[in-house]
Amino acid sequence: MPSVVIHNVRELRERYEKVLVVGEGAYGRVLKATERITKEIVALKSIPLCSGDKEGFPISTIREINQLKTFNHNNVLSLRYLLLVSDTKEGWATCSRSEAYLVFDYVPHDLTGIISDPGILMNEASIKSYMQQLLTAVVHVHSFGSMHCDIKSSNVLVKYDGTVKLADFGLARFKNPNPNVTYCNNVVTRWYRPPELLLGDNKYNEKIDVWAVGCILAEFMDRRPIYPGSDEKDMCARIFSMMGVPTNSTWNNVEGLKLYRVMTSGIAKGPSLRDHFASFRGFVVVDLLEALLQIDPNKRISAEQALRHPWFSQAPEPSKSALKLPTESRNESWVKKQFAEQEKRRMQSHQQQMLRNGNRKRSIDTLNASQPPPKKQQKITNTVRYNGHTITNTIH
Amino acid sequence: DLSQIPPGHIFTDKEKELLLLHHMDELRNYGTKLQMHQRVIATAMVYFKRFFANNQIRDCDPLLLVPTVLLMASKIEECPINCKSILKILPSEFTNLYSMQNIIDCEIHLMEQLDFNLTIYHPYKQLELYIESLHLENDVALVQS
Repeated sequence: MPSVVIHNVRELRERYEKVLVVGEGAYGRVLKATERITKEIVALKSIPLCSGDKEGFPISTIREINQLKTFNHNNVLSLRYLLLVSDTKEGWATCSRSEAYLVFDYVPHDLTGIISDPGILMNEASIKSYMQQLLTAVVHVHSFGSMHCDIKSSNVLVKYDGTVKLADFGLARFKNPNPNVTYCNNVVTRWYRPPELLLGDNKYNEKIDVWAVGCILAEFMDRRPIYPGSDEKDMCARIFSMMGVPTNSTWNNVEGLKLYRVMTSGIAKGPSLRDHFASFRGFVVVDLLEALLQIDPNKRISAEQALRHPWFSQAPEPSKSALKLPTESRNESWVKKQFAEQEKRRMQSHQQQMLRNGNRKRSIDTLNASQPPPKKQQKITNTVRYNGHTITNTIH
Repeated sequence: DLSQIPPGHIFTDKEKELLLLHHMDELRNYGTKLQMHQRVIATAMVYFKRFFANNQIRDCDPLLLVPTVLLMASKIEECPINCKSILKILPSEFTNLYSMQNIIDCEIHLMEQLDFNLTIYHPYKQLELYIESLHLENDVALVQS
């Protein structure tokens, strides 16, 4: 992967033609742009270089670059270039005055978009293919002793031909060979967080990614996220009501986890996973789902074992072209736009409703016009004498 | 002593080698002062050598590069240290010339020069296994330190 250092912003504009902003988040922005020379469409991910504290190049960015340079797999979104744009005309690129961009191939769809588009009809062959590709990518990542830490449907991109690309290694990190090393507990987007993270574990391992993959499989089957918890407590309630509250006998040392007591109190028993997917009764896929969404990380299967699951060798064979994907991109920002439009339409219809109600009221008013109009309120004037000055309060 | 060298002096290979050796020593000293892991210091040394394999000594002051490679290596090896704490242990001849901002600016330059190839593979794990296979249990702890 060549890194290109550009020494001013003008050169950046000469290289790339900005098309639109695709995503925006805590990390920065993702731009869709056209490379002027090759006419290829790329995604530019801007990464912050200057964090507020004076620590130089942020370690998270270093991790991301490091990870991306390590992986080389068809199902992992690869880095084309690294751009360092600096405003200084000559000399070194400096931290305070520069921006860095990661340049990727532009991939139009992601799983959030595909799953939530009602116009796309899912079939088992394509779901199987997407899951298989996703799992191969995860196996590849894990084989380097790395954890992705942010697998979710919007980070799984899909090309027009159905090739899956795992993206966004902003939180990914290499595992330390020392098992006593603790990691930051605050990783993974909430709906895809596994129980060990929700219970405050900070010595987790790569099995957290497997849970997230399980959540995506459930999302495929249900066409909506399986655990859309509104906060950590709600997440726990949703998971444990389905799976049962873990105890030391079902999950070694779970009660020793920091948040065990807070999170497991007052949980009502709900329908089990198999009841939730009752329409899939008797299908092998539920076996796989159950193995992926095993609350005890030690009992949860690894990504490699999941790939060997009989579901993948059963008919129908996985086929990545079984699903016709639309030409416009179906991604997270599309879903958000769709959602916003829906909301707008609802607001509009609501307003119209209100307006109609208002009209009715007015017509009633005109009907009652024959009656004498209510008396105009009299002006009440309070005059207070204070130290010789007159203060007049007029109340209408 | 670098301050004695007249401007425009061209280093001979021998002198260059001596200079590198001297800075390797410095890196080790500072590293142990900062209680860094052996592995981090080794990574810092590789960065230092790689940088000057591609650059002339006059391109970048080795004095400035020393704390920069230490900072960089500590980040890559996942045991980040504070930039301030590095500054604290540096001698006054450094702090008179440079500030924290210089280190931070130099860091990007370093990454650029290393072409962002920042992962360094060390044979520590292999060495550990080798010593274990020789049944020298006492030395395993030494390697692990």
